[in-house]
Amino acid sequence: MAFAVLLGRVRAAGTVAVAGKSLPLQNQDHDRLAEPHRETSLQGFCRLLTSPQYERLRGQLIRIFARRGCQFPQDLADETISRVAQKVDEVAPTYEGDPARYFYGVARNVYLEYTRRPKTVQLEENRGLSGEDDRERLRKEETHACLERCLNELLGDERVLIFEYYRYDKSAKIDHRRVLAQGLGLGLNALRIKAYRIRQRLYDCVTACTKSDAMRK
Amino acid sequence: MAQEPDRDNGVLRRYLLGSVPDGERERLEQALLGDENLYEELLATEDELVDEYVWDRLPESNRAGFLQYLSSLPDYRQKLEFAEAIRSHCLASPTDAPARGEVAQPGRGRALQARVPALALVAATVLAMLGGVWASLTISGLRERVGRTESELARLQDELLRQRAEDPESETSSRPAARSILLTAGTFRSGGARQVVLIPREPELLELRLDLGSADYPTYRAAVHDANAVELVSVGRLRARTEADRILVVFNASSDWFTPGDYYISLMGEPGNGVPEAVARYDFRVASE
Repeated sequence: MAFAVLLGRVRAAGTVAVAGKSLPLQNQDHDRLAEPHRETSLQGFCRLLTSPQYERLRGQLIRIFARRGCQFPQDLADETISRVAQKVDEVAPTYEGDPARYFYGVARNVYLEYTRRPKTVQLEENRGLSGEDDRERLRKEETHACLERCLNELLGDERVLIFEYYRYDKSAKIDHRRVLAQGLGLGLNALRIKAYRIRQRLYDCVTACTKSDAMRK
Repeated sequence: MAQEPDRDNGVLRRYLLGSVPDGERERLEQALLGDENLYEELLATEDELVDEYVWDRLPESNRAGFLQYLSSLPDYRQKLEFAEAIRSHCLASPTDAPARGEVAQPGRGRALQARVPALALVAATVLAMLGGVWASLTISGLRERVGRTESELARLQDELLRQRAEDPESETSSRPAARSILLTAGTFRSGGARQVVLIPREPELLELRLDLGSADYPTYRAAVHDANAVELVSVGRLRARTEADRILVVFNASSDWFTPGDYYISLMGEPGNGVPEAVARYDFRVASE
């Protein structure tokens, strides 16, 4: 019972309240959930509900809901995770199979409930990035400046790779990437993932840089 | 406006553009939740589509649908601005061909102004060359290691053939010609224990047999990763085979590729054209005999 209460205290990371409560996952919850003598199925659920798997799971659910056309996918993702967390003590001991499938089943129900709600107006595409106001212009300038700073933190070959991979001004993108892959002794997919990981580091650096610039102002 | 046809028919790309049928979408969504590698590939595909959108390379028919998806993500504005910044940086750093839409340099009156970007170009080229030399040295070292490993594998295979030629009954002898290891997908990720693979202290040929379930692709690619997801080796153009009641993909490995620890094999289906697609993952733990 106490364990169920603890698990009921999983926080919805967005603004969605769960049964009127807004409860964080405390450090002792992490320790409790990591107890090694628990059943394997429960460990599987708990692993998905604690960092870093929690953030990945949330990102996966957000994208699933976003691709299904949901307007606030992060709220639906939080709702899904909260429902599973509240039920895990009851479900896990007898559950067989990948816990991710259970999450998916709950997500599907959350989606069906969402579809029955009244629809709201969809945003129109804003193709005029050049018609933005001063704030947006300043933000873009900061992003550019931070990108220059973060590029200097990359190794030389990483810098070359990231720009050669993402150059869309070349006439034959696929052939260019194939040549790039061959030059590095990699398969095309391995090159994709390598480029993505370098880009992600760059993105995290630029995001942190723009946030710290904003805080200084 | 698209300047070249979309040659990437990958299922993840179609999923993100909203053009997979419902049944396939559900299967893919379930696979995404259970497979970290597949999710990483999704994120990589998403970034590529953001770039295509920003470079105005995404076909008109896909723009609205992709933007509808992208604008639902919590950090979509940062993603777009980041992609814009990369694009601007690429256009400001010309390579051998001028970027699309750029105008040729004007004449004599701007010679001095033209010299500054030319010097910057020379500096960028020198830096790129130095980076390329460093990359070449690194690649050369890695290739030498791969070459040594492949030589060892070839030596073991020759030894196997020699033994079979000298003793036709060697397959039934007490010492196996190649150590056969059957791996099943997904058992670890379903909450079960990792399969344990015992390897000998001396180099030995291993026959890794991946239980497939069904053969949906003409060929497959198997990539072995360590616990840090570093790819150790990748073997392609593998064909599925049927043995008794199992459908398997089989490839050889040398036992000295492994030290005790956790590994996984990601199996990708190779369609006739297009990007390989994730099929299964096989987790196992290597221990010494």
